[in-house]
Amino acid sequence: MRSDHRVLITGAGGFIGGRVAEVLHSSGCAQVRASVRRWAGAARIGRLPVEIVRCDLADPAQVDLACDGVTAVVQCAKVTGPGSEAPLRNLLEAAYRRGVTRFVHLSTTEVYGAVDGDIDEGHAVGPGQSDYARSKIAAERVCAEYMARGLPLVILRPSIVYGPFSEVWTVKFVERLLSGRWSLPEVSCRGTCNLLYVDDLVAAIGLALWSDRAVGETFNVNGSERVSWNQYFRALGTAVGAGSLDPKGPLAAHADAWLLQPLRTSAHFLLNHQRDRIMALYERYRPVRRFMRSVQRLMRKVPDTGEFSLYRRTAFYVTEKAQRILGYEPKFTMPSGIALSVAWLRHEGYVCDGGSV
Amino acid sequence: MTAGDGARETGLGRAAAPAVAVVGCGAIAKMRHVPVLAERPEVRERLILVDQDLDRARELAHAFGVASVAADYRDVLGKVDGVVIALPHHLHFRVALDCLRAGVHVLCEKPLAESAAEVAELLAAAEQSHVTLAVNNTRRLFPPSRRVHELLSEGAIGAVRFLGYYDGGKYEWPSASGFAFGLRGTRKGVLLDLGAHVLDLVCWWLGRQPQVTAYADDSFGGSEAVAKLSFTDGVTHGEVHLSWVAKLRNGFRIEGEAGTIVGSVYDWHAVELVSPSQKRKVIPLNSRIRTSSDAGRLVVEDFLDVIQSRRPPLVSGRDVAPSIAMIEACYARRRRFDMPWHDDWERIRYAL
Repeated sequence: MRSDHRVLITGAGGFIGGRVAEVLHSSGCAQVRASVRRWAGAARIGRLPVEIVRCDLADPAQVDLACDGVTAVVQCAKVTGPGSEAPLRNLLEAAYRRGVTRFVHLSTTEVYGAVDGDIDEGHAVGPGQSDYARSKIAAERVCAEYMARGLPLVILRPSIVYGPFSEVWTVKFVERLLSGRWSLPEVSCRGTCNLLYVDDLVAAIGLALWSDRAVGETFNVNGSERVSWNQYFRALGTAVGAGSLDPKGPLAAHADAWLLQPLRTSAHFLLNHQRDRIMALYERYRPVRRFMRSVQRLMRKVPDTGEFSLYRRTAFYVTEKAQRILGYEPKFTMPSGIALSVAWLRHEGYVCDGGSV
Repeated sequence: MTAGDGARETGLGRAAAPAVAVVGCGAIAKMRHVPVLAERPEVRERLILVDQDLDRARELAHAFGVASVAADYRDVLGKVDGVVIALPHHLHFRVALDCLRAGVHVLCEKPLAESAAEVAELLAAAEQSHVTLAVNNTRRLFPPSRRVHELLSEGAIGAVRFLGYYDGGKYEWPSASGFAFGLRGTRKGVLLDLGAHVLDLVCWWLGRQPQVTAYADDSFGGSEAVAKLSFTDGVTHGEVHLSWVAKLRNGFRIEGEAGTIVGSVYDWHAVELVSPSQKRKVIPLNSRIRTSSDAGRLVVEDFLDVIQSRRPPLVSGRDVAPSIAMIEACYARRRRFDMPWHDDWERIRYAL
């Protein structure tokens, strides 16, 4: 127990940050200061009697205040896209000035790019295959600057993190599987999934927080099983009682993805730039609601073009370094992780007893 | 609906506009109350915006051309006819009581209070001061809610045997203060917030307050984000599922001895009446109230008219008393769900 530690968790309203806050608080191993960008993101961590602060990482004054009195920082906030280095720099600078004893930065195995085979931390980084990957690569460079200045920093590179509250790798897939209309042929999903149950990542974060040998190091964090995407989708589908998927050949599936890409891009652009107006139309006019819902359904059932390359990739991110230096040891198998995820999905109402969303 | 429609409907403009203060300049005041009040020049002229964060009050006043601001509601009680209370939930009772005792009409955001005793005290204060206590339980005005109430009153499905209401979505309220969360938070979440609407509809539709038979939520000592309850009154049993985490089916189902009513919380096109032989009849809802903003506007305009005409408001404090008692009963038997996905952090104790 290290309850004299006060840990600032940025992005605590999110999937990973929220779980870090829950575990650190529930285990009593640290006092939690949870940081959210907007109160609207606080519903999950609001269930805990912990200190919650509103902090926009783009505002140096707010960041400095959030770092006041903390002994460590776990950076889980989403800082991606153009100009994303500045908010991270604000946080690192404040942590450095305040003399925190540990800073854990969450990166991603996506920094290795589209690679195959066993990948350890010695593998070259980049080029980034997406905005997300490029932002994470840039963020690691900023972290390296602060490591050089003496900030006791640890970089973790998690793989495909799933579990309760995971919109991307749990909820979205279950909704797709239950719809029965998802069109992704098995031949396109033979790549390695690199599944990491969220609590195993939290364990790695805990080890990075407390182990003196972690400072200045970068670690892959992954589950221990080499499972394919097909295995994950099948196991998840079985667990939620999903039927068979829309049978489509790889050519037709690729064609659908490419044809839908302009609509996907336009929809994202409009939602990012005109959200209030669009939602007002949505609320007022039934035909608009129907149209938007059908577009949403279509976009859910057709995979993004970028997904195909991910599902084909055979890279496996090895964690030998984390095991050796940190004592990291994944505790959750795919069946146990899926069982907990599905119990949560059922509880929240994503999956009804009859198997429909 | 236009402002003109509202004025005709509520009869505003018959006398000089009342002087009103909005207490609390957070999200709901900014989105709903102040825009409606400031739309009328004669109301805007006398409007006072109150917030202990005076900068926030000034900012809102500037945005809507309001001249007067104050930091303490007690400073304006002698100057206004009515007060709109748009504060964090736990402050409603105290502020409403002060206002009513000072002889000021009150339109309070939901939930009116946190206990039956508090509601009783507010009702007594309103009666003693001969002023109105209105509550912004706007969902009573939603077209499906009204139609269901009519159908049940007409006996369209006979005696109600089951009532299920499921309402949830990712919490996205642009709260200015985050009052529900953190160490200084109220430790009452989705039940007191969304539940104030839903349980009010349950009681209103049934015409009585059922007994809570079970209640559980996901609070770990903070404000719950998911709540589930069941209830009965001997004839009807029912369940309510509320969530700030996930989108639920967002609808209701009311089974009676002579049919079933099925409807959506947010799609106001129609409700369905299903006969015992499973024949479905779609009942269209051709209401002028097409959005929650329309309903909110009506409540505020109604309040202005109530101040002048002294008629009962659309939703009174007495109307919502059963639902507040029901919420109180839920919290009294509060227990946490079994949540193995939460408790399994024990497996990683080695790392902590």
